[in-house]
Amino acid sequence: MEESAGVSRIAITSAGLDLDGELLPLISGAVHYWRHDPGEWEQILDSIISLSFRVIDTYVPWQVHEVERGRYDFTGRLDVVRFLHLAQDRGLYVTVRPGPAQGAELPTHGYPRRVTERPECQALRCNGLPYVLPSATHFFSVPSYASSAFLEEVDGWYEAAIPRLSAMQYPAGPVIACQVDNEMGYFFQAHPYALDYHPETLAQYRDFVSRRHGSDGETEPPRDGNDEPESRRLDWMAFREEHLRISLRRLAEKLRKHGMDRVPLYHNDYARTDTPMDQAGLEASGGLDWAGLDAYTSRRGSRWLAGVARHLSASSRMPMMPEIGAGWLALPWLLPASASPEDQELVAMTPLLLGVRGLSFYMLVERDRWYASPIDRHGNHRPQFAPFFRRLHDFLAASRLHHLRRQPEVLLLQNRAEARRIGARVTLGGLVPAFPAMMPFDSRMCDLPDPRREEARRWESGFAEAVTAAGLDHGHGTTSSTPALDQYKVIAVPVLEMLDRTAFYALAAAAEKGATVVFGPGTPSLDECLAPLPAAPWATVVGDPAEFSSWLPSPAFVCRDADVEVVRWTGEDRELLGVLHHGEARKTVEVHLASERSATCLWPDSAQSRATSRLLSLDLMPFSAQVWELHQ
Amino acid sequence: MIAPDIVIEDLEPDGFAWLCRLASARQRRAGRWAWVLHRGGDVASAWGCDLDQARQALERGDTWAAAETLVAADELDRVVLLDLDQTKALEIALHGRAQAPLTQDQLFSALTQEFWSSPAVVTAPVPPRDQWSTLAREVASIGDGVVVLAVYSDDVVRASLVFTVVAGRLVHISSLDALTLDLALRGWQSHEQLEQALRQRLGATQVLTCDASDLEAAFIADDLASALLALFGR
Repeated sequence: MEESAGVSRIAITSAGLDLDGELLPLISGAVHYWRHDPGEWEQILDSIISLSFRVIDTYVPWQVHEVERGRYDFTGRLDVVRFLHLAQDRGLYVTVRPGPAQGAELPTHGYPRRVTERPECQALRCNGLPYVLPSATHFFSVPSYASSAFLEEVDGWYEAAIPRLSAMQYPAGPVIACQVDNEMGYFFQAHPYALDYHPETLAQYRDFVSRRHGSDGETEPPRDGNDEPESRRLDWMAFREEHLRISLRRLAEKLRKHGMDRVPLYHNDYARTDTPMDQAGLEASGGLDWAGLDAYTSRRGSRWLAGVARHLSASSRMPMMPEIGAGWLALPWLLPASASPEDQELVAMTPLLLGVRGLSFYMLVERDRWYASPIDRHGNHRPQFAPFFRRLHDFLAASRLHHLRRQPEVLLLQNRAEARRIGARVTLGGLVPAFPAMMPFDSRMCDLPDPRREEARRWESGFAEAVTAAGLDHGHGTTSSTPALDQYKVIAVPVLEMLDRTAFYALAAAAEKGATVVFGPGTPSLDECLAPLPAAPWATVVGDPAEFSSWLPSPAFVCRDADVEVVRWTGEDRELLGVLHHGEARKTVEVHLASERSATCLWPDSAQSRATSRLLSLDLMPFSAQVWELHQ
Repeated sequence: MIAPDIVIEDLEPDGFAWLCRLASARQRRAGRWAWVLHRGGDVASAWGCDLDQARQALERGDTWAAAETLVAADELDRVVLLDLDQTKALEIALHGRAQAPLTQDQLFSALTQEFWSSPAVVTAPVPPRDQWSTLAREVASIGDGVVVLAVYSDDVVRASLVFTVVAGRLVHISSLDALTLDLALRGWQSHEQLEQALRQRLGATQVLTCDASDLEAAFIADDLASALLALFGR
């Protein structure tokens, strides 16, 4: 087949990329070519292949390639095309990340300093002052993604870099996907009034308000959680989500314009499932093919990771963590964290068993400002880290996990309308630092007193606890872009007063098809714009989250242990049982099966098997995962 | 102190992870702090202490006395009163400090000093000393050269860091593993030979050796900056 501009031979499936009919799961790892001696590139790539990886990932950093304004270096250590050819020669596929943001422990996050120093490019706080962010080793004023001056600068970078990369798109080259920007979500700042008040962002806001309300209305944005009326604050919160969609769509269009038009485009944000992040909303906006979440934690954070994975797998058409920790950054004065081989198993298995299909291990190859990767910066395996990755690939091949499906019957929906309302009730946006190390300032004191904050939190966690206590796997989504609801028997939404209008009608339709829709403690009476909603006689209202358990279906496998999660995978006439142990004590648990089955262990020890029984007794090591295949 | 283009590479994973565990344990060890937001003495909100108690303490109009009263009442480690009527000036002052050519640690130091000295902020007890600038002075006083930190546990090197300082700035951090020294030198019994080998390899080298438990205690007692200061023995 002859490829032509804009014609892709890559299809996106829920399990990975389909390359000319072959499913390629995106199990990948990061390697930064410019941080290594080019003479060692081949050894490094061979070392990656020997761990059974088929895909690698790399930033292509603007800050590093731009030698001076308008002059770029793509030679020697910066010869990314040669690096891509070497990968292709070895049968490796590559995802590329040309920014403009990279992070990547670079001094100005990947942007050339001259760009961050241009006042017209800078994002502004609610007080009109630039927003300063510490990078790994320095600090800089972050850019505004609405600034036309900044976008022109990005265009110059894309014009220099993208034609080189686009010539290497599949099938002519190894590039199979391109990431648009990096963790764009307001530079890790959750405070909605901290940024961005750039004049061109405010123009976008006014346009948004005009479209949302059909008139100019109140166009001055709120700058504090005390600013009235409340509708202004709600508009601002919704706009902040829209601003990310607009910004990413603009960048995606630029990438396509410069030739990156035969591979999927995706984005990664840091692991926040609340406003302003909305993976399904980003995907639905049309600018991107999929939106992932990055996650870094130790094994002790596996419960948190499980929550992120649940959300992602229910919200994205191709659930992926474009960065999942393999090692950690070597900046002990800023963000010290230990990285050990014991962390790796649960950190990798948790998202996989909860439905995340793609993982890119960051960093697969160690480099400057990073430690504890499975491959050192010269291409040698680190014996305490590397074997796990080979075992992981062996497991994925033997289990055929990417050909099976996990289908939870219960869905918890985070109520975005309420979350925006509560999130808007904060103050001190002009003062809140970008990073705790910057000065003694506890960001919790930004929260204005609001009893709804605690009540909403109690209900959301109450529903989740009831599901977990029942031993049920469940999905997690958000009401701002409700996932497909057909597979769920029970859908629970914590409601105080508000609910997104589209979610309201999607839930009504699901109820009509037989799903049980549960609200609590209140019923929705207002939509996201404070307009009245009709009554919802099709929904059940529970007064106490603990009562929710009486509405839950029976689990396929019963294992009632607060530290243990059990999930079911089916397909190809096979059935797998995945077990995640989040506790620090070794324990034996019993899993009750619906009928007598024999079982073979697929992870971690494929030599184990169990005789036919209705009871599967499992010896679980601390912070560990097991996968069993059940047989009739 | 921290050069923006600092190179940190070839860290021995187990030892560095151990050092990071110490540092993060210290960061997590939050003291009992309370924060009170007010407008000229009229309390808007309180975090870490009782709202009514904060209102009562500020009723008398003396914010310094109020902070001390609140510290004593709940045996808190620190109380911070922030006057919302004066935060605008603080915001401008902070922005004024966040300018090149500061290094990252100098930025943190400048912002912290600006915060504590702002008329918007009243705190009790007196603000903690600025560890960043103290440490930067110590690093600058070393002069250009290499500093090796070897932490011993059970008679062997548990963790090591090799720092290179140029013009008072840290420009390179690595670990002993990167030097591919004879492993036999890693035993405590051989630490003098280790120092000798390092000096032969690296030239003028300041070698700091300490016991892992001592370093751990220094971290827990104070913070990263002070723990390192203790190692310099100054």
